[in-house]
Amino acid sequence: MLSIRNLTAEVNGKEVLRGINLEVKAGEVHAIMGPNGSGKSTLGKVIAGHPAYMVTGGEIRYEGKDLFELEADARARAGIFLGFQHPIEVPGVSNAQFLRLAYNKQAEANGREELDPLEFDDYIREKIAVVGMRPEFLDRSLNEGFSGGEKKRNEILQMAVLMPKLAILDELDSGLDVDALRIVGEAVNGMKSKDRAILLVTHYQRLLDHIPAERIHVLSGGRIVKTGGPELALEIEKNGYDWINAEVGA
Amino acid sequence: MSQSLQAVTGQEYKYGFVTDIESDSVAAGLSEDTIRFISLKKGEPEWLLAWRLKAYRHWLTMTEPAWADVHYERPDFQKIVYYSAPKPKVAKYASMDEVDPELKRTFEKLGVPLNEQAALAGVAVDVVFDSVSVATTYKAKLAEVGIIFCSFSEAVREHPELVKKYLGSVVPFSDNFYAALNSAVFTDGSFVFIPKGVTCPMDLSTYFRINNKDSGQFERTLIVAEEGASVSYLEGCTAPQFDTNQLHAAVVELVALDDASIKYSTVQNWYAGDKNGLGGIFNFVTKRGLCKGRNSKISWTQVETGSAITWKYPSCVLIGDGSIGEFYSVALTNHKQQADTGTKMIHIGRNTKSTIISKGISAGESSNSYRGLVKVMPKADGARNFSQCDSMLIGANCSANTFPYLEVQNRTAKVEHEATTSKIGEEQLFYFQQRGIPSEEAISMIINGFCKDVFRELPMEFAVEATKLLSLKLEGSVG
Amino acid sequence: MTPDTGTASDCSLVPDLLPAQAEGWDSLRAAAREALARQELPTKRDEDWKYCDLAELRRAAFRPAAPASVDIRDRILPEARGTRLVFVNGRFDPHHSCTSALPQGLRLLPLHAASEAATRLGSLLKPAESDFFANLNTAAFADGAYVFVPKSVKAEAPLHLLFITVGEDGGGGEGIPSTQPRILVEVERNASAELIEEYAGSSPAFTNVAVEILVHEGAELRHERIQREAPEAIHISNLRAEVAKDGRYHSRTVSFGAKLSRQTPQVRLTGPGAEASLDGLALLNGDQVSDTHSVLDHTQPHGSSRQLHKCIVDDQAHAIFNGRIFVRHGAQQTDAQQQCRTLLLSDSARVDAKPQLEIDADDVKCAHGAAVGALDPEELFYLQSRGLNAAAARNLLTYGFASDLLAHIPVASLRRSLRQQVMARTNAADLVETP
Repeated sequence: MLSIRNLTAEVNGKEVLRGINLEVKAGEVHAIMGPNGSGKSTLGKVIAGHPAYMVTGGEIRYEGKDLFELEADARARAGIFLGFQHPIEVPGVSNAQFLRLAYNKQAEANGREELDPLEFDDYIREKIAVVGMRPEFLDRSLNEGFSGGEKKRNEILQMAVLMPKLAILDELDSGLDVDALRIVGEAVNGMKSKDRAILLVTHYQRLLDHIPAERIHVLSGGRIVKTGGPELALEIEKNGYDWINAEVGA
Repeated sequence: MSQSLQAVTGQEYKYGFVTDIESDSVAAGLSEDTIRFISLKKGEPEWLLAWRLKAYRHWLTMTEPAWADVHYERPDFQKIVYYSAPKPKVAKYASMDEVDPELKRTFEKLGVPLNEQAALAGVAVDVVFDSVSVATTYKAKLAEVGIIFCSFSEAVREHPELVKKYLGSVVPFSDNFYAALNSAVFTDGSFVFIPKGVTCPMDLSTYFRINNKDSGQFERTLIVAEEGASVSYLEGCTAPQFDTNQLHAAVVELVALDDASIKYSTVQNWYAGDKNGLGGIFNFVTKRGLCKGRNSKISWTQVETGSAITWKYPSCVLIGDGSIGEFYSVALTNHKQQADTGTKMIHIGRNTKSTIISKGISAGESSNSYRGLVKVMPKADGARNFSQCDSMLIGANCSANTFPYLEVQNRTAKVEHEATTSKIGEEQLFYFQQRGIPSEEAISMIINGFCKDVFRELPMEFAVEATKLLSLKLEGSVG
Repeated sequence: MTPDTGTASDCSLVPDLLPAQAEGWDSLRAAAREALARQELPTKRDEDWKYCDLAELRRAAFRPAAPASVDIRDRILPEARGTRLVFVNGRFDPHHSCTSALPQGLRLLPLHAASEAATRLGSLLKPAESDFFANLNTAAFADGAYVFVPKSVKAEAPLHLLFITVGEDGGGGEGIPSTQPRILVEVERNASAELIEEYAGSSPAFTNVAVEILVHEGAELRHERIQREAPEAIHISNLRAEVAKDGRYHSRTVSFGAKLSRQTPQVRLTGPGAEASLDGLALLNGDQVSDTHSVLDHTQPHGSSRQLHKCIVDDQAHAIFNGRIFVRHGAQQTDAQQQCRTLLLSDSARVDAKPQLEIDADDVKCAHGAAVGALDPEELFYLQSRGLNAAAARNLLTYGFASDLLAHIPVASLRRSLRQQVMARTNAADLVETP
């Protein structure tokens, strides 16, 4: 589904990705781990097409197509979803309006039927139950005044509405307490399927207790320095990141 | 600023055409003779000429105001053409069919619903072209219920007692420099009178357009709603594109008696000058409503997107006990535009209420200021005010200022003001894009969300127009 | 108060108070004199003085206050026992001052003895850019305080500057006794200190203060400003502060006294990441007028500022607040929040509030609010439903409104004394325990 080769990228003239190679197949759950400043959030933004990041080399193929030919919104409509570490607050635009517009844009692009506000209301009510949100959330301004945990749930609600093929979830666990993490984890697990891949970006192993990943990639200095199975995450949990850096001589 | 931001603000002015109509103008310059000429041309009674001359003489003693946050080259009052009427081929229009076809095409380009569509839309329209009112539709139909809706000149001729009674009763000619100038030289405008107990069956509407390169527009609008009457009035403004500045100094007076209500909506899209700040309208306008009667209500709604400089504070003087004043405003500035706008709510009567919702959007290198006064006089027991003044900034080179003045002399009053800022930038747009929503739609959605408390006060078709206008104006600025 | 109809030139402040030859600081004073020659006492026609009537200053005659002897026992703050400077009628009082507990290198001394202050004095209140009162102070001040906290020094004890105006020995003479205190504070890199600047008086006086504060990189100054002058006094205060990169300046001004008081604090954040707060409380009754004209100027990115200004206005008193917040071009990521709340307690009380935001950067978080009103009927009802009578409920809520702002004063004795004064003013003394 996603194939990244020798990807390099910079932001404000600073090189942040220095040759990333990564293969993710449909049905898989991968985790990108790494210390702060390792470039793991950057990778998600580059895949999603953030305009501030300039790709300087390499390629990303998504479902066999060159991703760089698509603008950020076209990538989203093609099924790439980025759950933000810091979701943006937009006063005056209600959550429901935003979700419906996003849903209809995707429906339009994929030849599915657009929903009018009443139909969408039925559709969304099923979804909010999954993430444990109250219906009042739909009428509030998008992320405005939401707590950190509410913002994260809202990201997962958006994911549930859009049903992406590739979901990149950036620091999903930050700002979530144990109960909220469990609910959100269950919601994400419920969306797993053989057609869908999930890429978790996280600093800590604790997220993986709730959403198990079969491949763990450790990012350091803009490169993937180690890849392994679930045991790698546990080792990081126990020993931190320094031993990996020492091992690879980074 | 990234490219898509730039792409949204660089929109060309859509109404920048000049209509080729012979116009009947006086030479540029201002003197007592100019005023006598205007008065004579309009066949005015002696008392009105006397009033104009008094205003002119007072104006001569006044100095032009110097506003702290507005920068511009002072107009040369001797270079302005004070009277410019489209020369009619027929002396007076008996029906719309007699209106100059060229003029009608202008209105069509402007989207003025003068024709059959107007009937379907149920809008009665008065059109003021440069300085003179050219056509009023639906006059007869309105007259059946006793409503007078006509050009100001016609009101002077047909209803002199009403004009004499109310002219200058809200904005005296001595009020300010530009109000004095307007009182001396105004050429036309609209007049609305809603008699006791009548609810106006349709929205009344006026379109203003400045067409002559050197002409100023000095229109005067007077709306009177008698006891229990109510009316909703809309005005739209456009002007062609010239690289010189043109002056628009209007005066609007509203009077609401007991239980009357007047809703006054404006979509202002005068030419704003080009992106380097060349040309554009100086929009120096005095608008004031008098809530004279008990439980009367005056509501101002404005969408200000045009003009090189906008300086206007539609105000409410709340005299009647229980009267209500409202001000809903969206002001958008781009490139080098300057807007200094807001309101004054003067609470004099008991249990008077006012609401102020102001949304300023600044892009480019523009400057957008909210300036508003809430004054509670000692006798205004139980007065209430709530103000919300929000700014949205687009790009790092614009300014947004908020200057509320709260003057309270009554302890039972409750006055609250709040202001916040937000922005549209790369991160906001990326969030929308990442959910599959293209930038243009994202901007339009964010702007609409930001302005929705004001838009919902506009009549439906105006709200749609206003939304389109804002998106158009911002094209090129966000990215 | 009678309306201000006189012309500016009626004022005799300058001829009365400008000495033929002031001591020291020659070039600075010359510049101030030169600026003053072109300035006049402001009138209500000046936008900045629109609501504030200076007629009292225009009609009266003035003279420098003569020496007096005082008893300051009641005014000693135990926390500042060995870190205190006292000025009586404008003169340094070595007998009541005590600087025995200063940390190594910290300088706390009268300005006349601080020759090292020469290069800094007037650097923020530059004569060419300052107003009439600041220049009058610069040209005419007799003495004041110099505070210097050296690099990385954390002053534990608060530094107390006490300016007292009392009846003069021998009864004085014609004209209003006047003092012009001058203060210069410099907090060097990574140093920190707590400063208390207090004005107290028991007789009619004109006090014209000028304060300059430099907070260097990473340094912190907490500044309590207390004005308890005599009810007949006139108190004018100009303050300029500059806060460098990651520096913090937190001030709180509490005004009880003077029939006319005017505070003009202006704080400029000159380095990235600087932080400032500028809180104020004014308790006014009788014919008191209190005017605060503040400026918080963000010139660099990542700065933050907070301002909470509260006024309680009774009788015929008049509160004025004009708070400007500037966010200059390039000062991205600024977070500025401003609130002004006023409680009107009588039919003739009056407030004019003008909070202002002037923003030239887009990536900022700025908000301001202003609210004027009476006590909340719901809150009154709640207290009454718990058995308080109407008057007690009113007094308690009024006390709470004011006391809230004093809660964070770190010097316990000062906090207690201010709360007691607030209690007395709000008739809440028998309702709440002494804090």
